[in-house]
Amino acid sequence: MFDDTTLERFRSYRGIDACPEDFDAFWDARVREADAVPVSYRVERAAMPSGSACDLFDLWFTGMRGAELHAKYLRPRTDDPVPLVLQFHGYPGASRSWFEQCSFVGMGMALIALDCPGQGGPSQDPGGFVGTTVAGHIVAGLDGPVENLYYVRLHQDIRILCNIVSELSGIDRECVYVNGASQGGGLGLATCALNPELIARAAILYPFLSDFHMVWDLGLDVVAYEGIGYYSRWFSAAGEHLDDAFAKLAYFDSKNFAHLVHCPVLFGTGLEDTVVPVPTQFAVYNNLTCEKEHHLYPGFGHEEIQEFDDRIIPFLCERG
Amino acid sequence: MLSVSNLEKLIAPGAVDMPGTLSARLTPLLAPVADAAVPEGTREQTDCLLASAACSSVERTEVDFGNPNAAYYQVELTLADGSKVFARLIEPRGICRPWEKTPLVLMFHDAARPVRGWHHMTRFAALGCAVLALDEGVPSIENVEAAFNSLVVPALALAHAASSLDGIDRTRVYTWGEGLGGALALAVAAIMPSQIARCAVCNPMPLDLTRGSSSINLIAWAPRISCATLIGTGLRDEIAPTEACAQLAHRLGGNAELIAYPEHAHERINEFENKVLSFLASE
Repeated sequence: MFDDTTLERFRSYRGIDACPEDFDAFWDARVREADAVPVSYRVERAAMPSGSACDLFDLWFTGMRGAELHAKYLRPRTDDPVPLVLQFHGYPGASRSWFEQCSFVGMGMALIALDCPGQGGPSQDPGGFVGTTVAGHIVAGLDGPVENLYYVRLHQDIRILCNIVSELSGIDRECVYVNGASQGGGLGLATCALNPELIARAAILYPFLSDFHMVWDLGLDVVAYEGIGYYSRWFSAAGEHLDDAFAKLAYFDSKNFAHLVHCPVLFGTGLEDTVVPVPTQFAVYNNLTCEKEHHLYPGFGHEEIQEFDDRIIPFLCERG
Repeated sequence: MLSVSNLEKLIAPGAVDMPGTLSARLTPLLAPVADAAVPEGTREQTDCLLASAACSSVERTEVDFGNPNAAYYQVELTLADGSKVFARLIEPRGICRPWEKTPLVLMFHDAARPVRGWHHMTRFAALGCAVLALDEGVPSIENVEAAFNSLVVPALALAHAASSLDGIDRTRVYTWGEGLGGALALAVAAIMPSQIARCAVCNPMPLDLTRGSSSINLIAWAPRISCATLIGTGLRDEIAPTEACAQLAHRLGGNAELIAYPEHAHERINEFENKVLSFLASE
């Protein structure tokens, strides 16, 4: 638990390394590349008996480099347009069960839950990353150009998914929201930043993928951040290449996307979190310039925080 | 009776006689249990428990989350002896309510944790189901037997209260629970068999209580459970052993499906949640 002085320091902390000067231009170019990919998708009824008030589908679409990507797609059973939640899962894993996703359908909303490529779900990762790939998607591609990093490609895949959402029938496009925790929180914020015309609100819990230099400095480059630890041990044992590595990682650092987020953000942090270090979460939050609210949970680590989840209901329902 | 399971699929014939293998461990669980008798005195014990669980009043207070498709309530039950039982109720509305009469899930949570959050339980609205969840604090996992014994009457009170709720399809009242909550879900199904249409449990425990005069041995009482039952069990669960789940499944009065998960311990099982969804949502 942090003392008041430390918490006060967190409230003005914005991260160790500055945002790259060409960050916005870099992502403008990546978004254009994603938009140049022809939209190709199919919606198939899922191999699950549908509940009485909702329908379950598999959404397959073509991502960057021809990757076949998968998302769960759930809809309330109605002909009227409904709000939509884009849901992103934690690292490494897959979208949670159909049943868990049903909570948003119970709020009268459709939901698309992407399975990140090459993790715990059926989405394919076409690979081809330069450098180490044995541990950690964070560093996948780190020895090649920034454009080919795993997470750069994933944000482009999500841009393609957003383009599909713009075509899907039965969606109220004034009410498209983002929800995600951990990796899902990082992906969610980047989704808001790169698709500002689409995303109206975002609920973000302890976002991963941020302030990598601070993670390393704290010695917490383990568990979800272990890729940094392995890279450091094997390729920069005495710190020779760390600056170059952090300079590349900066292009998908959640805190660097923050200034591009325009929608209201509900943000949660468990103050005992050591998987996604607390100061790195503050760095993300403090760089947000949009309407925002930060809820702190003493006694909670990187785990389910029911009180935060319950806040999501009015946060999204009050808009429609 | 155990009618469907994946146990056989997990057994490698070449490893059955090799000590320490999963196959050697699972093979004995395939054999059905011949004895389906319920211990003497069970009827008197269930009558006594039911009398204790009768509700004299059910009060509900709405909690406003602004969701037009579900209504949320804190529920307070008063039992005949004046004691209180607390619960959370969510009822589907709007597009989540395709029928006037909705199915109802009686939900029981595990030890060492509180009742599930409102957002978590909103999932039932998507199925067109109401959910009534016991909210009696955080039961001790160190003394789970005592926790179980103290929560059986409150669990039965929930089932009693269901009969006073408007808009419930009384032919579709289900029980669902995890860990300690799984045992409570089974206990309600065993004590009120005519009122429970389906029962789903994950890593239920304790199942084989023998201590104390008021203890309920669910394996012994299993033949009383006549509804379809779905059981999920993690083979690495050290506090809710698969052996007890299989023993119970063989003795159940109704059809049972047992799914064993080799890599899971005492935890939520993503794949099993999909099974629960199918089980509760199918007609």
